[in-house]
Amino acid sequence: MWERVSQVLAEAFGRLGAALAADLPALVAMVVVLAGGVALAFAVRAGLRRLLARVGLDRRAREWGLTTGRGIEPQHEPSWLVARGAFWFLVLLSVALSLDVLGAATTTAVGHSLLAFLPRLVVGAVVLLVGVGAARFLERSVLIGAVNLGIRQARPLSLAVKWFLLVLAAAMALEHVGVGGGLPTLAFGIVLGGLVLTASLALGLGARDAVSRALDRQLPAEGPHPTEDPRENPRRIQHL
Amino acid sequence: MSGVLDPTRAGEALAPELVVGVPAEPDRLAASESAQALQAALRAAYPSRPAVAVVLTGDPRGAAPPGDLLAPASPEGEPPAVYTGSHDGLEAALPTLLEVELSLGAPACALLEPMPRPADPTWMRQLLDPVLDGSFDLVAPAYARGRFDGVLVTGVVYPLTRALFGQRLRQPLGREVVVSRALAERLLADGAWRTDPSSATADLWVIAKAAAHETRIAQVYLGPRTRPPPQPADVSQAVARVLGTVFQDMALHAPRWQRVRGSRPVPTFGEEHLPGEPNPPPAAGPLVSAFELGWQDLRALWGAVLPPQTMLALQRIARDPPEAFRMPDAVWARVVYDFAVGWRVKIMDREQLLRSMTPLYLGWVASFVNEVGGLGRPETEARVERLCEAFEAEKPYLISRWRWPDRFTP
Repeated sequence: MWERVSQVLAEAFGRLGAALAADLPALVAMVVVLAGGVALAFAVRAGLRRLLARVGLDRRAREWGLTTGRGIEPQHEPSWLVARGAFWFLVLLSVALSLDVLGAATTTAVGHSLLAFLPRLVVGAVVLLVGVGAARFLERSVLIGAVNLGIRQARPLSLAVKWFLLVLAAAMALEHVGVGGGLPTLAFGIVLGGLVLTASLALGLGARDAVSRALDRQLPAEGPHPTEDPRENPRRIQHL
Repeated sequence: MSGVLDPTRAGEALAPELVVGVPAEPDRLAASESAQALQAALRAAYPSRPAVAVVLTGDPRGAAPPGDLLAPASPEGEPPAVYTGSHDGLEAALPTLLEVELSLGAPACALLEPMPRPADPTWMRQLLDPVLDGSFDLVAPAYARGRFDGVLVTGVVYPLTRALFGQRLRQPLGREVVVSRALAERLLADGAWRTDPSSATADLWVIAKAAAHETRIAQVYLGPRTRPPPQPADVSQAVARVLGTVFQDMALHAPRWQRVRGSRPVPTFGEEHLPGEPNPPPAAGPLVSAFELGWQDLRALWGAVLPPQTMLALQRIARDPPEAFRMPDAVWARVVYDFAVGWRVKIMDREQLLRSMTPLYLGWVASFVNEVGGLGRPETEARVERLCEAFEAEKPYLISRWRWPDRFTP
């Protein structure tokens, strides 16, 4: 009986050895691709950090309103974040490639789908980043402009502009990445339509008199407001 | 040079000693009529000296074709010549005038705005004599204006340029200048016309250039201004445009102004004809409201530019009622200096930075209105003098921040 057991074990180890001998090159290739990808990711991260520091990305991000420039840890500066994003993109890419190199049907399918998804993910991230930058820049522009126009609700107005652009950018990014199908677009359309309808109703029902007064002021045929005190007229001051 | 210049009509005077130019834009007909009047004034002021008044344009597409008269001939003489310079745009009058001066070999030239002038040509001699007799290279005309006219110049441009360059030039933003031939040669040789034409044609460029290079500068008071300068649609636009120009010149001449201490009077000619009875002051309430609104909503933005002690001072000011609203001179000087440093290091988008300063500026205007509302003109000028002294006293702070902006970053 022991002879039979020994024979079965020998056959099993033989088959295992044969399988290992057949798959080992692919495993080694996978490890090599993975290690090479990670090494490349480290190199790209270091190179990007230097390049972005040289072109002044952090300063430009501060100008555009992406960051405040105050109290930011170096590792949270935009140049570091971009470099880190590139690092993880390359790591994921090398994982996808290594799975593809392995050659097994399942891993190859996973690798292929990962490879197809990554570019969309990157473009989606870029869309989101640009949207965040535009939202913060326009928020500041609207805030300053509204304050200079003497609008009391300047802060809510600027926040509305900011969040409108953020939601728009998020919907565009999700649409591009393919998450949620047509749901983000639909949700965005519903939210925007609802906001416009609400604003129209609020303006028509609640602020009818204010609109009427504003239109009256704009009409050229109208003279100075009867209750206006000439001393209140800011045009009495010539700034230049 | 003659290949560049394109007069629509031959000059009336060969080898003129004086060239007076009027910008053709934005109103060509007014410019032409003004040049005709100036030509008559030149004849009356300098009967023995050849002089010519011309219309200047920098846009070849806007130049009248040769022979096309811009204004009908008047009893005083023929319509003026139109010169088209080699620089484009609405602001090309100055470089075109300098080119004309050098090409005609005139020892002096003047750029004057088209506006009604006194019939007595004495003003013309007052304006041009300092350059014609070789005593000065640059003369800046100044006008007697009301206490609340040109407050941006009174509150920011005059104290700042005086503290920077050490020259007490009361109206440095004027678009009118009289320039000697030597200075014209130096200005035209400057590379800024090519590298940065928008700044080279800005209002302050010539004055800053001259002040930074030990040029002999004088100012001449020409009496009341008959036509106020065009006012921008909104205050923030004026603040952004003017301060952008001043800060750009600050950056351009930083090595020079950091060595200047104090200030000295500029030789002044003519009498400063002050308006008679002071007008009733404007209400400070709307100005204080604008400041308070800015404090409420733009505080976070200002905090990125201003250090904590200045923010604390502004917080105290914001609590004052409108009639007691005061902005201390030292605080205002530091605010202006901090914004200049913020502009230099691009702490945010420059246009946004400058426009965000508008409520602070309106706060200073409110304080100025409260302080000088009941004062006469001499007392008002004394108040402006104290403001300028504060700007000069705070200049070491500016120099420190300018040299080491990160050290003071709040």
